[in-house]
Amino acid sequence: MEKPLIIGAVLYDPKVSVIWDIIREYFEANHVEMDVVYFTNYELQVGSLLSGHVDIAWNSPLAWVDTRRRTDGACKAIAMRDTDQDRSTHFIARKGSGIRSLKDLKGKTIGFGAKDSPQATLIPIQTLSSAGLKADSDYTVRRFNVLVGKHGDHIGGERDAFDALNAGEVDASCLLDLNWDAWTADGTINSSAFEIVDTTPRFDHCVFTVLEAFPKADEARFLEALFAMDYDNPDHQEMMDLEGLKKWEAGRTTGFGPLTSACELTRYFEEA
Amino acid sequence: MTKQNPLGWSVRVSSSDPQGAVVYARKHRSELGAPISFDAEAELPSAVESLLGAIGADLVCGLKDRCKKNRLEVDNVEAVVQGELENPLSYLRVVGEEGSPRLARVTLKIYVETLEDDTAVQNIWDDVLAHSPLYLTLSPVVQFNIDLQIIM
Repeated sequence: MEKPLIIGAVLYDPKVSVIWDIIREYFEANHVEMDVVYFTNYELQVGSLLSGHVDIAWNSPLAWVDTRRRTDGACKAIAMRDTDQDRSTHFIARKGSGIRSLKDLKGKTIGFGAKDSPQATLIPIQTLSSAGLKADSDYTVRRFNVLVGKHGDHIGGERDAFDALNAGEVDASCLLDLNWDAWTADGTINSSAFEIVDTTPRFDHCVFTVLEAFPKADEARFLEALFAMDYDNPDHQEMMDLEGLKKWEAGRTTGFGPLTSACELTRYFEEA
Repeated sequence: MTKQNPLGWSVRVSSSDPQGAVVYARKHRSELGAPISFDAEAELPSAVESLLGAIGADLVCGLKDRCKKNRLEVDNVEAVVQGELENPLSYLRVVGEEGSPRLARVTLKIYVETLEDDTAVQNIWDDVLAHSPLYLTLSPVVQFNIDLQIIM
């Protein structure tokens, strides 16, 4: 009898456990027994993946980079959501502020998300560096460290940074493209008052991660059930809406370049 | 002196369904679900919700009863009862979380519709709290914030 697969997931809101309960029931109905172990932060989760206490980690992009670093590349990205691919972060400023490009941010204060947020802090800092702007010397960094350890899963940091922009406390803020789209659509952001100044290069986000030694047969049965999820199936749609995707995609690693560069630039793992 | 046995109550709780249990109290029957639920669509009230309901019922019914016995006319009594756990994530066994899922705080707003004198109602309320089985049991270990509002 096959043993249950153990999935690791970081949880900051107990309501997210309801989504994992639904996913677990789906896998069990598809004859893949699964247990989900929750972690309070990604460092603990990566440690448990490396020690073999979990089989598959639902990793943030920063946790993926950390896993690869600590295994010397002996790990695999086996699946991700369609919405985890080709994301970008916008630099937002108030219209009429005179900030029309990244170069206009010289001497200004920029609001970022939590210090471990790939999308709201690390990748934007890398992008600014590529434009010739060094953190804390060419511009002032103001971080909104909401739920550090969760790698920016909680949008609170981005929201607080935007609120600071709205209040005139910072000159620009960083926002994931999906959050800009959602918040301009629901009126959280007045799109006639704020504009996108520039955008980071595209990057990838969360990914199911396994070690190289993970049995191929277990990987195959997990993926077979995962890829059988079909958004056009009414029984799957609610689950997929809750998880924020229309389709599961095969894992890829080509989208982690900007974050890897950001971690090197900021010496993130040396200073964490 | 006559030896008196303490008065006790018992209920029977039975579960053959992982989603819930049936509580039999004398001839009455009610269904309860998980200890805690984070699903707003959960079919059954959780054990914690039931406890909050019991606390509210204890105090609401206690107040109505004492008002009646003191011949104070009260049109309606309503309570909104909110409970907060010390750390709900610990219930989910989240690795790295500290604390426990114990009930840490109960906040009650009690609304009393009456034309009676405020002081008279307040005195009865104080008496209710001093004789409430659930309030007296829990208040040494759970923080209670109670706001009594008398409305006409």
